[in-house]
Amino acid sequence: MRPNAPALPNRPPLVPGTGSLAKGVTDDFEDENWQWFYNHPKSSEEQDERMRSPLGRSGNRVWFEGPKRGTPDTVKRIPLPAPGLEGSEHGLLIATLHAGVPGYASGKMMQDDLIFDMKRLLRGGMNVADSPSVVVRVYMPPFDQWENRSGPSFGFRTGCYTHTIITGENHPSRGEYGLEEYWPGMFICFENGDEKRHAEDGAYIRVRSGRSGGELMGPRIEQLGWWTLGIAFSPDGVVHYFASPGVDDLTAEDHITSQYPYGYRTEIFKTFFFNVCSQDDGKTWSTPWVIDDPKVYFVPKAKIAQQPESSRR
Amino acid sequence: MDLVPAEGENIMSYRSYSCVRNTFVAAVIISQAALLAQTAEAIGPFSVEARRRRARW
Repeated sequence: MRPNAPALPNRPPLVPGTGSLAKGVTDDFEDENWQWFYNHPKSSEEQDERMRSPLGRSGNRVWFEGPKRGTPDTVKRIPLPAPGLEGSEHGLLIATLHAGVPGYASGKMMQDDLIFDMKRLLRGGMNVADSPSVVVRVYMPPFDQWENRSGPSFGFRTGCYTHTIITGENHPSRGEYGLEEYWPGMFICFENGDEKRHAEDGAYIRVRSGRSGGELMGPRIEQLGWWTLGIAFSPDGVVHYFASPGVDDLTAEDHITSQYPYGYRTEIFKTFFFNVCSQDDGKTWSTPWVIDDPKVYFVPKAKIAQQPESSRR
Repeated sequence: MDLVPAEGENIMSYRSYSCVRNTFVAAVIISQAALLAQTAEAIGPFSVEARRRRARW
């Protein structure tokens, strides 16, 4: 990690959902023909360096399986478990059982990835100069439905780029100056009340990451049901994390923190994705997570087509 | 799949916007470069010797 960010600027945070909705960069899961093609066996490049093509993908080509960790074992359009956004009747269930290498139960926490194909929809990512942001609704089920394991259960994350010394372990240009990819986001973590260290079941949001790469404790999940999560990128390269119970639009009051994750000044918001984690023992399912209506926004500059007076001669 | 968001929302194609933005940025760069070339012509060649002479002034 070679930090390239200055001190955090003293500006109000950028609220996710600010500006215009990016047309077509969404999925409302209302199409009754919505389908997921698993294309098993799943990839597990992170564990055994095997990417098993073809990758899983949705019929609408908006989502694909994460090549590093593989497809969740359940990716299914379902009726909403509780009333959510107005006009929305369906969401996407994501859960997993065999989160690690196919055919091998590691007994360790593993995760699978569902990735939004922003690269295909936009022919690349979004420049932070356009103040992009992403907002999603996530359903937190009753605690008796959560996997009985303390630790991360669900991740809402983004793919970002900055220019610095490349640290990716298998990157061909590791150690050289270039485009470094990293994945800021938020994890929902469970506290298992069956364990002595926790008086009762509980959950909280953990933010990845602070300036040094360490994770930050976010708010506790005091209320289950629908939550609205959002991540925004301001032109100064700062990442802004927001969360709020319910499905209302995010406001400044829902701000958790603003950070330069890993000390990096973000340049490009490449895409967003979801992790689902399980203990990978071959018999215990993850918590069933339902997401709905992920949407991407940006702030267009009003006078973009107008040449500034000073450069006219 | 219907990807058209709810009525009343401010919707814009990022691809079209970024295309216009990039064209605009390119136009500004080209016009600034042209302006710089004109200025350079008016001032004369920026040789090392000329810069040294200017520094002595």
